[in-house]
Amino acid sequence: MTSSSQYSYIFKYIIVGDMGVGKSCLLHQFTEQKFTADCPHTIGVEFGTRIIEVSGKKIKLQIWDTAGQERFRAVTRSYYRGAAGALMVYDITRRSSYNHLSSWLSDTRNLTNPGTVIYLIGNKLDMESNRDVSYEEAKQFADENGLMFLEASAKTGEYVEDAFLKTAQIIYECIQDGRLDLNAADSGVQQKILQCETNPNVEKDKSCMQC
Amino acid sequence: MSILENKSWSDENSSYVNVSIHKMDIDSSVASASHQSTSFVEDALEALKEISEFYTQNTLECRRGLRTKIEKRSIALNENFLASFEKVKNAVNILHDNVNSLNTAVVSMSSQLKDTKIDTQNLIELTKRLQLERKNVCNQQLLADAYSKAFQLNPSEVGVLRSNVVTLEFFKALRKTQNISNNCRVLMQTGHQTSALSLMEQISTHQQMAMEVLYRWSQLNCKDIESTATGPLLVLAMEVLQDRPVLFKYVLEEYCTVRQAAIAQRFIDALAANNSNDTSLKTFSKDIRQYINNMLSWLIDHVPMERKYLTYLLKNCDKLNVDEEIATCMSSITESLCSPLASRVESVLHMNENPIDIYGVASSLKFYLQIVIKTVPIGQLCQTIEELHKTMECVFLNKLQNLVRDTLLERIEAPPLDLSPSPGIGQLLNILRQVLSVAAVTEDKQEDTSMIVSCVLEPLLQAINLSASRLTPLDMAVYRLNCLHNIHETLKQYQYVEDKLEKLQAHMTAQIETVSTEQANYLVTHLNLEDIQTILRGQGANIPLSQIQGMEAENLINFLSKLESMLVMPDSIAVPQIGYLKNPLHLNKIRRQSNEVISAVYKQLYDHVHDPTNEYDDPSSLMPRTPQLVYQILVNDEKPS
Repeated sequence: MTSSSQYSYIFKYIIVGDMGVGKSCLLHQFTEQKFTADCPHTIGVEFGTRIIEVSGKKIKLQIWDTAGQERFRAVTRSYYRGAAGALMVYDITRRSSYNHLSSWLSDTRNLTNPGTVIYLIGNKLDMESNRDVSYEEAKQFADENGLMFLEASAKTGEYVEDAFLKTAQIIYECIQDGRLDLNAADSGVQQKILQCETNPNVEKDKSCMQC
Repeated sequence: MSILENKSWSDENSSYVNVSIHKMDIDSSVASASHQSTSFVEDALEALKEISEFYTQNTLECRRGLRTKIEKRSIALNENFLASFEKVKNAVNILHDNVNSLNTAVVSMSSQLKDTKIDTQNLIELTKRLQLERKNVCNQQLLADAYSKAFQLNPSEVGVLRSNVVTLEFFKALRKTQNISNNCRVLMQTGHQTSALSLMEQISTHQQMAMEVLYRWSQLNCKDIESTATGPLLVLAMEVLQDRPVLFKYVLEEYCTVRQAAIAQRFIDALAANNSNDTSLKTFSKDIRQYINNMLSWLIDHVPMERKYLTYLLKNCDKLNVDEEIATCMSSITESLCSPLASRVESVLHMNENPIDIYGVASSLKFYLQIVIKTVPIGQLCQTIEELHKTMECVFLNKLQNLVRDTLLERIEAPPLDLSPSPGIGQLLNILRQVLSVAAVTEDKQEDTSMIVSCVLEPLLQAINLSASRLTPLDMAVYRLNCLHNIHETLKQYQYVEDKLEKLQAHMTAQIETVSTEQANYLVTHLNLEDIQTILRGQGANIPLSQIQGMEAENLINFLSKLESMLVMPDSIAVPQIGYLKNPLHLNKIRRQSNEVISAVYKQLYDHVHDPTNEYDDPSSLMPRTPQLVYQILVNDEKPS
């Protein structure tokens, strides 16, 4: 743990969606402000972190970026558990990725706890001319299923921050009004106890016990 | 007679001693009277004596003749006298003539003297004038001397300046030309433009010539900066030449060329096996790291020496930016080292395939670059070393990636039956350890470490994911947990891998949860809890629980007896894969987490059984153990009392 780890909470995120919709690119854009064209297919799960600030509180996001390929479904399943936020990504230029959303949604609902905030993200907003799924249609789907929704571009970085930050904001609000039980094993949120911050090892053990 | 009288008088005097003063006066008048009479007597005597001579006979005749005779005699005497006097007169005449001639001579002498005197006076005046003139001339000479000292070179100095031999005298003369031209400037300011200009022209010709001599000499001799004889002269020469930027530049260029060749030659000599002494660097060429290190340390030994010489050469140059000059020159001198260095380092690439050695070389290059850059801040040498370092790093990463890929392809097969990490993982971690042990000697290793670890770790994790994807979820979780634990254990010995460790830790946590869920499900099944759990979840009706099928006391006993045996031996019921876990801490965590689920169900059931509305007979004997006790035994791992 580095000295920059002065934060109050850890939120776990998971990014799901069809292969090639740009999940890893969204993660890179968010954690490194970089866009890599020709990003290789994720094998299994990738991992990224970034510390953000919500309502003056420092929050560390631990983000699992899962492989979209079917053959890794078994590998990725174990990472759903205990996610506080789930970003469900589709490609606005590829209808098939949109059509698979309901299966991703049911997976997510089954494997996460009921408090998990699910954010629907239509990626590749920069390729507006090739749009295959209209905003309204996706918005309606999101409303019907009680999901948050926005369109973003991992390439330009447009609305990428918003997606991650708004998710964190909602989770934080849930904690504040008690809808999210921090003591539940699979809440996906770890609270840092202040004196533990000075001793990372103790904190580490503690957070492991909480899982 | 008078004497007698006097004698008698004096006798008288003596006889009458006490005669009065009157008597003495009388005496004296008598004496004088007597004296007069005496002289008369004497004359008479004389005359008589004379007569006596010729009057011999007293005869009448004679008496008669006496007179004639006397007269005759007187005439004869006069005639005699006349004749004699004639002679005297003649003699006097002669004397007179002589005196006259003498007088003439004296007069002429005196006139001559007068003339001479006038001449002398003229001469004196002339002399005076000349003396004055001489004084002036002397003054003028002094002035001229001072002037020539201030404004002219003496012939020997000119000679020194023209000779092609540069000595200390040469610099003395040269400094004088400088002084002269300064003086000329003063002269010009004081209003003597014409002379100042001509002097200046003259002196600048000398200067120009001397500069050229100096320039040629410096060019010829600049290779001998190390010699004690030429060295100081070169320093002086450079000091002087800095006033002639073009010449200065040429000399420096020549110096750089000469030193460039010299250092390159020495480097190549050092590299080649010249003697039987094993001092040559090539003897180590078997061990490439040693070889490269020797080469680079030779560089950092010798390059600063060049800088030292150069600093010495330019130490008196105060009119230009010496640091800048030194930097430029060092860059140019060391240029010649680039190609031998590069070719040898590159040849190493072909000699060696081992990424660890190559990484060693790369980190040596980086290390020495930091030292070299202090002496040669700009130029090709640093660039070359930097490029070599980059190439090496690239080749290293390439080779490491290839090695990782090959190892993964060859060694990471399907996970073994006992779900222990594939041997390839251990091998890769070994490689990683070796590379990181090299990394430990280089500076700013954070970046390096992170890069190397990523280079090995990412493909490794992917390979593990790939090979595990064929397993059942439980097998997969256990296998991955074992692999991750193995990697985590290796990495946690190193600095700067916190992010990697965090990631591994997060991965492990996810796997642990998967296994605990599986284990909890397994426990639920084996304790016949499935139905009970379902009923408890769905319970909400007003029917007492004991009336519901499956929740009768007899049925509960089935579960409770199994639980009882589990409480005695908490580890007895477990999915078989749990036994394959390599890390006992993981095992404990999984057991605790799954047991928590059972303990929670027990608590729920206990509450329901002890709830009178559920109409169980004798709930305390049915479920005697309190949930707290069960929790303590199952979760806190305490032995049942």
